[in-house]
Amino acid sequence: MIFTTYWFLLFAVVAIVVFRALPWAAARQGWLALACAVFHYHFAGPAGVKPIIVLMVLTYFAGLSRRRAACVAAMVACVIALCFYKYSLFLIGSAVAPFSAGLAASLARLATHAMPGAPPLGVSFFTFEFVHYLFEVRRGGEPIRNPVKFLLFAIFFPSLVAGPIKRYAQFLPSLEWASRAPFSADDLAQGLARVGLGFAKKLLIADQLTLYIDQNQPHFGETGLFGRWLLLVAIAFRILMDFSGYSDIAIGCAQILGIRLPENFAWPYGARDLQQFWQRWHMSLTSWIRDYIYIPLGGSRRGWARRVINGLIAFGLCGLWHGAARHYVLWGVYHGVGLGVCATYERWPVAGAAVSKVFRKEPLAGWVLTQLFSWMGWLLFFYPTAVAVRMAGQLFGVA
Amino acid sequence: MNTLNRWAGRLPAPLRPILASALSLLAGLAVALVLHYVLYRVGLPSKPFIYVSF
Amino acid sequence: MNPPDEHAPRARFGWIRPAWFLAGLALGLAGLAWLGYRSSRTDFHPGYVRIYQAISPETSYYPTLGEMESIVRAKCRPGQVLVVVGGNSILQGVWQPVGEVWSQRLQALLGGHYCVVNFAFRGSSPTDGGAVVAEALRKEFPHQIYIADEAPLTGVGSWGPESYRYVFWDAYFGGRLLPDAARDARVRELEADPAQRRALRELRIADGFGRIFHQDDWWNQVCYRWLCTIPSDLGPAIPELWRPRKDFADQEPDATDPVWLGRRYPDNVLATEMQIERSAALFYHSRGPDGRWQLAEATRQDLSSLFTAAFPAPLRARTLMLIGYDSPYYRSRLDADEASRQEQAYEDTLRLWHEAGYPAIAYGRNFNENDYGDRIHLSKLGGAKLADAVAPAVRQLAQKLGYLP
Repeated sequence: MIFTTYWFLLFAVVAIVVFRALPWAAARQGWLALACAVFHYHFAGPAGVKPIIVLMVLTYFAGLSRRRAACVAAMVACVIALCFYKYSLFLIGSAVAPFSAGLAASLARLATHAMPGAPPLGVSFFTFEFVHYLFEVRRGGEPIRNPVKFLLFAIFFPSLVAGPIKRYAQFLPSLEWASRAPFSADDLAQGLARVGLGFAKKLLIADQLTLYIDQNQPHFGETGLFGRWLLLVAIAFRILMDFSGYSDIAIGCAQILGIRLPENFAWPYGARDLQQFWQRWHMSLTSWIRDYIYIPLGGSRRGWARRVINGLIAFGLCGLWHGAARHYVLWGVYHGVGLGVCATYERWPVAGAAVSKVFRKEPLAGWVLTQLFSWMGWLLFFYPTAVAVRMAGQLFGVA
Repeated sequence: MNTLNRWAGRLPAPLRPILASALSLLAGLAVALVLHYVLYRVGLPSKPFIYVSF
Repeated sequence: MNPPDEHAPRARFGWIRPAWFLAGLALGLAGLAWLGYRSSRTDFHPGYVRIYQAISPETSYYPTLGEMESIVRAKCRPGQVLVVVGGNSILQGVWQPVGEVWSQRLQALLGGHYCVVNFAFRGSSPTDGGAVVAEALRKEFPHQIYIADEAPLTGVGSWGPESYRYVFWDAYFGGRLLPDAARDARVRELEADPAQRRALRELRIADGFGRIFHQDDWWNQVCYRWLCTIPSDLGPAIPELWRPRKDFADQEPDATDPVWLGRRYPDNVLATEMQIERSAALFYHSRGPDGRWQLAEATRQDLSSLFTAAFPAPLRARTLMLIGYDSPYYRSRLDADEASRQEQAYEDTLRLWHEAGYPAIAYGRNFNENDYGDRIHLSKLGGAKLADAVAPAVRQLAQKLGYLP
């Protein structure tokens, strides 16, 4: 999808070559904006383009006004749009249906009627970028005045569909630099290498693992212990290779243009504790959640109990962001609990000090525990809760 | 990568540019292989990127 | 001018020397394109019989036009009459094990002046697969006969980006087919259809890349000979799935094998199959003054224009259409009215094909239940009878077209 289409491959070549060939900054930016618009229209279609145009205009003018109330109102509109397109059916099913099936059915009909066939392309990503922008402007940051630059921030094609989630304060100087800089063979070679690495991760590793998982997961219970653990490893590496492969392609494409996108992964399966894991996994999302949910909630400034609760809320929302289903929320809460334990275990009477000593003495123990925890979490992420719990039990020989 | 850099740092100075060039050529060949394979695989049924659906 | 510090290139690929990297990239792509071109001119299917499961789109293996042309070049001499078998699973030889496929018997019956190659794909239309290969090879093998099959009163319709259509698009976008205004108009219509436009655009771009890089030709050869990384249901799991496709034999079952004999006509599909068997009733509602069932004028015109549009005019006379009767197991269950309507359908279908300029014959009218593996597919016994019926028609056509004295 998107990156794995012939249209995209041809589009990327043309967009990049022309961008590099144009001699003036304004022409380069104009061309890139046009290319991004064509890209978005091609993949999202007329119905999918409307929501982003509306939210983009709203965000642009709210930011330009620099009024706190306007920024807050636009942020609320972005969040409502995200909830509407992504979660309305889930919320109706979870919150209304238990009380009134009839009302839930009517609401679901209404929502389905009002929505396009599928959620707008990249809605989870661009709404987060808009909220970030409005939040920073509300805090006193400089708004983007040039509409072409704002358009490029909103629909920059390499990161539009699945991130990395950009920060405008980093993106704009990079765009400015790329618009004026001469051709860089370094960027071209390094970007191409990055794109190649991304495709290799996706097609040579992730897709092969998917094949293995699809064939073996239905027989999980009948497989021996070794086979079960092997499948867990396959599941863990499949998502890493798939998503980090995607990020590599996005970052590589941007680099060929001369633009830097934030990194998304830094060897997460090498992390020795859960905090480290989340500093290395989907970094652009984690830092967004930290800056715009966790810290505004109070972060770790109001005592350890609030810190744990804030973490649970932030990670519950992080889980929900991944999809409108209970098991995603549960996966987020699972990590929230894990992080809570990770942040507080040293304070626990008796056991805390002993465990802490073990981890200091044997760093490998921390690594094993962290990876075991995060890999088991993928079961919750990918499968319905009952299936995930059963599979987790079977990993330890529990029928 | 740091380990690699450290290891490369231990090589005699005249060898370093030769090694870097050879590795770069190999990397280019490898990327060519991947991109050619991509052109083939794009036309075949394939699982979409997981995160695109989020 | 230097980039802002915080946006300096990351060190991940900082060791790369661009000139050497880009030289490697260009060299690699050029080398692979050359290997792909060579693959498209190499027959890597020794002893080829047909498009069996492991080299068919059902297992995500899409034989390329070049690959199929190479099979023809390796098997046939330009002096021979090239007989290309196209069509669907019936002519592909479902239920006929290797060695007893009807097209092999056809070759034996026709002898050395003819070269029979079977490029029928399961579920494809008469204008797919073999039809395209024959048309693309029309200059190299000017003496050619193309054989395809179709059910009675069925229009030859395969135009969109269906899975078996890829060979057609490959040849069409590559300029390998005869110029044909009607075909071009149909393609333009499809490209104007928003539902088809994107898929067609993908096919067009893919073909452009293919002409430069020959990626499908090369990686098909890799998949067939050495290592296959594409998903399929062939093996239980990896690593069996990665086995080269040459390791998977053509294991088409034999319908006359006692294991299958009792399973050819299962009771649970009888009602559905009879519904299809009675489908002539959909077209014939009234009898004419002579007492014969009358085909509605609109249907007649539709079929006539579809048959005409199926192939460009110069190719029609060499296209032998086969219209097969279904197994008597089902036909014998029709009442007299239903049977006479069905008989009329065969008669009208043949007439319409003839009027459109195609030689056409019906087969299977006198076949027995053992000649079939199910309602439509022929067992090896039926396949042999089909070959016996088709061989004289092919000889006659070759003479008529002036290929052989």
